[in-house]
Amino acid sequence: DAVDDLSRLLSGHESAKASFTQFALNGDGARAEDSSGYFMVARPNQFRWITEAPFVQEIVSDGDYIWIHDPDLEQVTRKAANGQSNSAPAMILNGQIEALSKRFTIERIDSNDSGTSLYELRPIDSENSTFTRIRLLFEQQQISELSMEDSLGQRSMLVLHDLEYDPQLADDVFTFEPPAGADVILDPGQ
Amino acid sequence: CSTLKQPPTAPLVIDPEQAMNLQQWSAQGRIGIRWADDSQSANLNWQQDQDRYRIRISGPLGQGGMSIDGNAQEVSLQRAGEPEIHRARTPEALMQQLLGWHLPLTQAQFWIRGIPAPSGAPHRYATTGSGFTQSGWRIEYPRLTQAVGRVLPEKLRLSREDMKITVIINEWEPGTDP
Repeated sequence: DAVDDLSRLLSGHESAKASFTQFALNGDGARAEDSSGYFMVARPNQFRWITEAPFVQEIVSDGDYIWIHDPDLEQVTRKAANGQSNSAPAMILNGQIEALSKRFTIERIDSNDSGTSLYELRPIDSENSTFTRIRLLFEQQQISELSMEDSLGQRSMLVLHDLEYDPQLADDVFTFEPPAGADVILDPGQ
Repeated sequence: CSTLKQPPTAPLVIDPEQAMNLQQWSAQGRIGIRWADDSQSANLNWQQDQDRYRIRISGPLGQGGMSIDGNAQEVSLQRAGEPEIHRARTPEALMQQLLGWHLPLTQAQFWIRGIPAPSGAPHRYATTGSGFTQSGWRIEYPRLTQAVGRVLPEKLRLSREDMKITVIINEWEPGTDP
């Protein structure tokens, strides 16, 4: 069924790397933000998410903690990377489809035999879900777009480019070194 | 053609009158908030039309969104993932009640443009960075930019002893109705 197919599409690998452009549209369609950068993910919940433009931001999850470094805001925050703080998009990119299927209904709403398919995730508890709808587009069996709509009508679209599965990764890719002189706020953890 | 030597760019200065008469605008950027033991950073989209405003705050990948909509009489705040819409008379009361901190939003709509709010006595003081103090906040403008036909802040820092807020604006646009 759709859950198994999505699992097969998203969890046939241990890690992945891609560059992205992200568009956000407000409820009334006004473009709220475009940003671009790249990310690496590795199962179960490690990732390094680097936004390069229009501002620089680094989000690194080493599995235990999530570090958010905003050089221009002169801020480094460390938060505990406990399971429930994991956002749906991160879980999708990490292929945690089993866990996702407990929070979202998963349906394949379109597909053809050239490897293109479109999946739609709707929250089971729609009252208290940040996202009211997530759509995943696959081209040649590879994920190419995530579009998300939150309960405020904010729509954001993540377009992936040159996705690579199980790429060569430096062994310190998921560790974060606070820059010298930055005073790190150690969030006591939610 | 003669290669005109680029005149040294005079340091940008806010023209208070021009900043004040910008009544319809939108600012797109990022906001960082730091308390004693916590800090948050998020994307910021602020649309203002006279005294009507819509402020959208969202985290990476469109998570943790929050929308504050208001005018001189009333303000409402809604968080993504929560059906309730919270209302109050002033944004300060609403934020304090919901977030445990508040930014004097009514005045911040002027601070973000580089000028003290008209009400209340602004104690203007000269520092290396241009800035002033108002309502217990110290406001500084580490970076200015030219946009919407005038000089506006690109980076501002609001600080009080228990809190520091940094706002970076990468896009100023003329008015759009919130």
